[in-house]
Amino acid sequence: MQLTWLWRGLRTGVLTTRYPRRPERMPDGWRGTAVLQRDQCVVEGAPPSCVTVCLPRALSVEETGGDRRLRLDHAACIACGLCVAACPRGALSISNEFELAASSRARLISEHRPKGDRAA
Amino acid sequence: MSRTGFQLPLLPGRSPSEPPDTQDRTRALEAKGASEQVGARVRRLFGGSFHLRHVDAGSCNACESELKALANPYYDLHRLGIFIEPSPRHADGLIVTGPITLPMREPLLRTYEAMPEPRLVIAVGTCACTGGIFAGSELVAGPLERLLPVDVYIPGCPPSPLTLLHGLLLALGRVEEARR
Ligand code: SF4
Ligand code: SF4
Repeated sequence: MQLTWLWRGLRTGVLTTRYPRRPERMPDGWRGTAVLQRDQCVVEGAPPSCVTVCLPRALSVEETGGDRRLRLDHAACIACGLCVAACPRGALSISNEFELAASSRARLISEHRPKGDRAA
Repeated sequence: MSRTGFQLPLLPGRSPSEPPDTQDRTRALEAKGASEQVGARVRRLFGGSFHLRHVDAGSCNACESELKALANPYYDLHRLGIFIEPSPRHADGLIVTGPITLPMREPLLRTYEAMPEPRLVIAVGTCACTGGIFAGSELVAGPLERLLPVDVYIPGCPPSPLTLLHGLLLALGRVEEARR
């Protein structure tokens, strides 16, 4: 009986992940968090369509004076992918990054200020 | 660095509508940098073991499902010396899931108060980090950072077991923080 398990163990080897000693990689298409391609995003529309569809309000537009920024809060994003479909310029995508934990809220927030916004 | 905080009774009965104990909160904020303290202590005492207490504060249980997956042979949390404890008295860290519903607010604070110092608080899941889809609801007292000083945020709805591992190891200073 025990030998059966011994042979099985020798045949299959160790399946346990070696993370963090060896890096892991999630398969393509695995949903980690939404990411913004900064050169694509122009933050147009009031509010932009991605902000409209985002249920947990991870995406929002910050406005101070004439300064318009898109704020993406990775701590609130549930990686549902609605904003990916909503963006007409294809600026948003879902990354398969999994090392998302952070020791402060500020590290989980990315802000994007479109280029040429002030000239417009 | 010694295990303090074993006072009884835990705390006088408090109604959920009262604000969180400010004294306790100040004490907690003083213990900031608890991450390094706990990390150093567990390395010294046990060569790295880290004990956690989990509180489900109104989660949908998907986060629990992922936490449970950490114990399976693939992720094998115990190989890293991290254990989930049946009592807050034995815990170095508190993991909280869910948006902190009003009935769970009091048990959560009592659990925190029952833990010896230094103690870490880890917010697991979008709900605990920001309230997620429940943010702004009048039925939740969260997000967690409104009640307790959070040391590590683990986003995701639910976070995958590897994300959880990353977060737990980050709390102990055993992995690098990713740059975004
Ligand atoms: S993936 Fe979903 S939750 Fe995340 S930013 Fe896009 S719409 Fe919001
Ligand atoms: S973060 Fe998502 S999976 Fe976790 S409790 Fe909240 S709704 Fe459920």
